Amino acid sequence: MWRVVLAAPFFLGGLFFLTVGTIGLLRLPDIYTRMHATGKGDTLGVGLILIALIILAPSLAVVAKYLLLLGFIAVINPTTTHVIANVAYRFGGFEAPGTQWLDFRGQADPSGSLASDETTTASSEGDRTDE
Amino acid sequence: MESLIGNLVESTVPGRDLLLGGAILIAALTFLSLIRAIIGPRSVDRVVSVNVITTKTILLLALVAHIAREYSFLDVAIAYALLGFFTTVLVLKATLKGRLF
Repeated sequence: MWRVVLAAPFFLGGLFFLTVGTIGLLRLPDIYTRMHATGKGDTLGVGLILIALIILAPSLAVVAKYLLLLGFIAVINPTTTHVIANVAYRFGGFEAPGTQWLDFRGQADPSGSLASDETTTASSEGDRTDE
Repeated sequence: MESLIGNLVESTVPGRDLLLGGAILIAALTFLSLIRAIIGPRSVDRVVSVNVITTKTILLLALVAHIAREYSFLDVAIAYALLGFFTTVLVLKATLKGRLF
């Protein structure tokens, strides 16, 4: 019973952050602010709920699986957010009206990045047709 | 696997009501995220929404594994996490380059 009392604040906190992230995804104006809401809210919410499940877990093997899942989520979710933001920034035109830019496009193109010059110019029209 | 729903409802894990309520709330949030995937307006919004839905599905699998004591669902959740990551990255790469590889 003490495990439930210990796990309940983590669980309820995780539900709160997931709810806030979803509200942000639905109500914020453009792609960058939506990722600001979901990228942090989902990672934190999933982490807190998995910590609550680790407290409630019956055996050590199950705890190991939860820890593996927690590690995967903690690496994968920020990486995915970074890749989506990178693609949106390189395409351009995704911001809400009134956004002010610090324009670094074309100045730094580190190796290993998703975009290279000949491919961005070749396919930059492909995404604009979506309304 | 004759009745997963029965195992969920008649489960005897401590704190069952809290965990089931949380699972139902997460399912409702998944459908709310689906609204953003439908109304768009741009393709990257849909990618973000599908990514959020993937994360919540992983969480729902972990919760169901705990409540129904079917701990093999955790392996499914781990595989689903990796699959969702590669799906998102490859969709973005195909969007950016116009080809997949």
